[in-house]
Amino acid sequence: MNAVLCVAGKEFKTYFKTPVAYVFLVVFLALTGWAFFFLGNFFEQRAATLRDMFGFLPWSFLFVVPAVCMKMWAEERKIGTFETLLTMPLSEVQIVLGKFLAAFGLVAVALALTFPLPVIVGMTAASSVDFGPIVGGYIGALFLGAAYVAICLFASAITESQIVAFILGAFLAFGLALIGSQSVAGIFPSAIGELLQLLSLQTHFMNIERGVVDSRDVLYYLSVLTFFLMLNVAAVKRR
Amino acid sequence: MTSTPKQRRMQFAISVALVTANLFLLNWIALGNYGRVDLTRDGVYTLHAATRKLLGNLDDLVTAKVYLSEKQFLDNAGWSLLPRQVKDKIDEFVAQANGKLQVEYRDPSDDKDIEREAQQAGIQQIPLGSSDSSSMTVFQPFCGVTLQYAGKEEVIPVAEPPRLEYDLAMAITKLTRTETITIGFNVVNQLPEGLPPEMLAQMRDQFPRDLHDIDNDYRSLVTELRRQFVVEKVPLTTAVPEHVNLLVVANTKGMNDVHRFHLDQYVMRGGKVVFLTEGVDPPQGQMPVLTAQDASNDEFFKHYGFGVKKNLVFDAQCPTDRYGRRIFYVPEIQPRYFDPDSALVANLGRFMLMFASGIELMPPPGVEPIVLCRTSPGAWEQTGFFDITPDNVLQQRKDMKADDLKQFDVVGVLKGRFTSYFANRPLPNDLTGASTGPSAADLGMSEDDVEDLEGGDEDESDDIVDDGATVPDQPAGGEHPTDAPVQDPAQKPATDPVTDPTKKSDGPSEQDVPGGGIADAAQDPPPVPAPAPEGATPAAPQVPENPDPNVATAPPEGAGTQQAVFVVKDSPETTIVVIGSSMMLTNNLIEAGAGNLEFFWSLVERLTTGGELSEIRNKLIDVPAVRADYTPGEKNAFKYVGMLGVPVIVLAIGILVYVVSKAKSGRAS
Repeated sequence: MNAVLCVAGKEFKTYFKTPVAYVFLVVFLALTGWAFFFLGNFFEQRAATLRDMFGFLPWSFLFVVPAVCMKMWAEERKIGTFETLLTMPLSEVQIVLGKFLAAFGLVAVALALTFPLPVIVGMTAASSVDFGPIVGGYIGALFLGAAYVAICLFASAITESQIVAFILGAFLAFGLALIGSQSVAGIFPSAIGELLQLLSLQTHFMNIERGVVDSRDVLYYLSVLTFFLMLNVAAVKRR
Repeated sequence: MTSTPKQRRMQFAISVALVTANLFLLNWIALGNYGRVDLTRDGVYTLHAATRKLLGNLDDLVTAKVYLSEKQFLDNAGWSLLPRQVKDKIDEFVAQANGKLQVEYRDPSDDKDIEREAQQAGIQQIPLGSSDSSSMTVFQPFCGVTLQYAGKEEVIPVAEPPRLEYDLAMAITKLTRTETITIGFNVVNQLPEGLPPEMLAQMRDQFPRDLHDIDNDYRSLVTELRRQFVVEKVPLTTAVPEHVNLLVVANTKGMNDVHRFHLDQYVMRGGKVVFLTEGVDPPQGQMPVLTAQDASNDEFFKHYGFGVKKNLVFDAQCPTDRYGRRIFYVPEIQPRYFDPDSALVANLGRFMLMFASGIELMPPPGVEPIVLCRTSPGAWEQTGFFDITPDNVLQQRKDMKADDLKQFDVVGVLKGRFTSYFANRPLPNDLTGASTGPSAADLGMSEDDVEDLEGGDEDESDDIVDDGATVPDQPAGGEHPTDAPVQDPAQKPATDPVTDPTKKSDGPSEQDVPGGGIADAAQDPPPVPAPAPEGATPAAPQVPENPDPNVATAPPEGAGTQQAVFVVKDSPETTIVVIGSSMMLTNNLIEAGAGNLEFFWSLVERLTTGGELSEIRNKLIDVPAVRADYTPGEKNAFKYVGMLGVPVIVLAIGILVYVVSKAKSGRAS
């Protein structure tokens, strides 16, 4: 575990030594704030809730999480540190988990920095705000972010090009989010449509973000994590 | 032995495949075995246990189409949250249905085909107003649901988020219910059928209170009840059909012994009854002075353990108009005056009683009395002389001393085993078609329980009396000329199945009379068609063959011809509910949204089905509003600080770190 945390710590610090973390945070926070105030028409709708912000997360993550993860493996290969990394006394699993935790840590920091929004909701509400759904929304956002990171990390592991890793990661995440939407699932026969919804990142996120933590959703996200991290390990081993 | 890289890759690939398969399996198993934590303050996403049970027991696919004009709602100020509230609730249903509920959302906002489809499906457009600072607009969105199951369809024309759980659960219950629940509805003094419309109208004008017509006066209630139940008219001139699960007796004025006999025997067979009756005749037309009802039912009611006082109850706790003025001191019964321990009224809201009388419970042995609802302590009564002129009522209120104010019991329940009102009384002479339904064997009674009683002689140990009743020389109904015509015994076959205790009545059948009225249970079950020859004199029906050697048939004293009548003397465990006002269910109060429908519906639901569904309470997924008093400047401040505050700080830190690191590297170099 220490080895995993060591890798995670090193990778996490690396983010902040380069502009990556700052650019990521600025873009993510500005996007989220825009979605909350302008896309969701906070003051016009007059609903003291963060649902619009959480509802936009699957799409804002699409832009920023692949950017955070794309360099994780691709750059190691490009600059030739990949082999060096593998010669260290660490298993592939430990390295993968370490990198995953680092990227997930950055996503968690980004989510934490959205704190002004619930504060504003609380300040502007005419009556007391129910913070249950807000807590649920953040829990769901962490699960969703973790799933996105695992997917994009895998995309980074199978290519040397950061651009390809970005596009592939975004495409995979987008696909997994979109298949659960009515417009996609609805065109298939009911059984297939239902299966697609069960496989969708967004369907499960919507459940948690309104304040209901369901063991099926948690298990789904843990399964997605396990699956893509396992593929990540496989991709590293293959190299 | 070491494996080659190819073998290792193969082993790893197999491991990946196995883990993937296990993950799928695990998720599949979890679909039916799961737990949920509702983080919301009031548990607004937690479906009621009854709903969860209902969804968990679905054995086949229910498909729902939700016609929701989402775009229209989102485009109109003040309504943008509604689609989400509807979807959230429906999502909860889907989550709990283990794949047995499939939902399709259809937005008719910009699609004429979907709009037409919604209209054809019975979904209603809801005229709504939307106002912003400068204008007011009216729009007509759709928000309704159709549900299909096994070829049957239920429609929720207007899906209101607060009561959507109840409406959906009720619709699914109705779709999946295999047995039919029948509510018998009786108004003794109903308008006669078959009269010309002008004459009916004249009679209604003349006797607006005395002569009720279920198809009109109780139309709104019946329409609502029919969403879940079969509703049949039960005139009590013949035996109450066996398939009637609950009998509602609204207005008992004019009840005669024949009515009482059939009512009594229904109770003795375990039937549950709701009485809505008052001690004072409500107003006739514009007459402000009312009269007390006669005492003809007093003994009958007292036998079962209740009484309806000859008073008129007024209450300071009453509805108010938009200006805050009290409406006529009509008692508005508040939940805080409900029995806190009774499941029959648990979680129910207020309701209104008009021209109500107080009730009293004096239960016989073996019967448990429960006062369900009382007026507020600020109520008073008129007795003796009833003047409802507003000035008089107001003056009376002013003159009232604190000691004169008190609580009145207005709704009560009697639960237990009752004895027959006719156990020690002669049977009415004009019983026709007087089957009391099942035989002793049907009732599960032993031969010892059944004894012979001749002509009104009593034997307290009897459970069932096989008695003879005279066939009247003329049709019954002298005391109640407006009753539905009683069947002429001459037109009944000698082996009338209705009088044959070995035969049971037919199953439930909702027979709509032309014009959407209520099927008349007097004709259900229909007698075997064996019309008497034209001009034939009424022939005495033969005494049917006794199905039980222990049950003898004999005529009552003075009886001429006989029909076998089984009188059940002791009831199994059953329930009688008494409400001190028959007006509470009339159209105006049902439609007024005074809570009367919800109250009565819950009673019916709980009495007939155990009432699991009625425990589903309205829950609104309530989101507090943002204060409206912010100036545009303040709003912009919130917006830009909220959106850019932290990013600017992060950016500044990033630049600082960059500058510092540059400076460090510069110094190092």
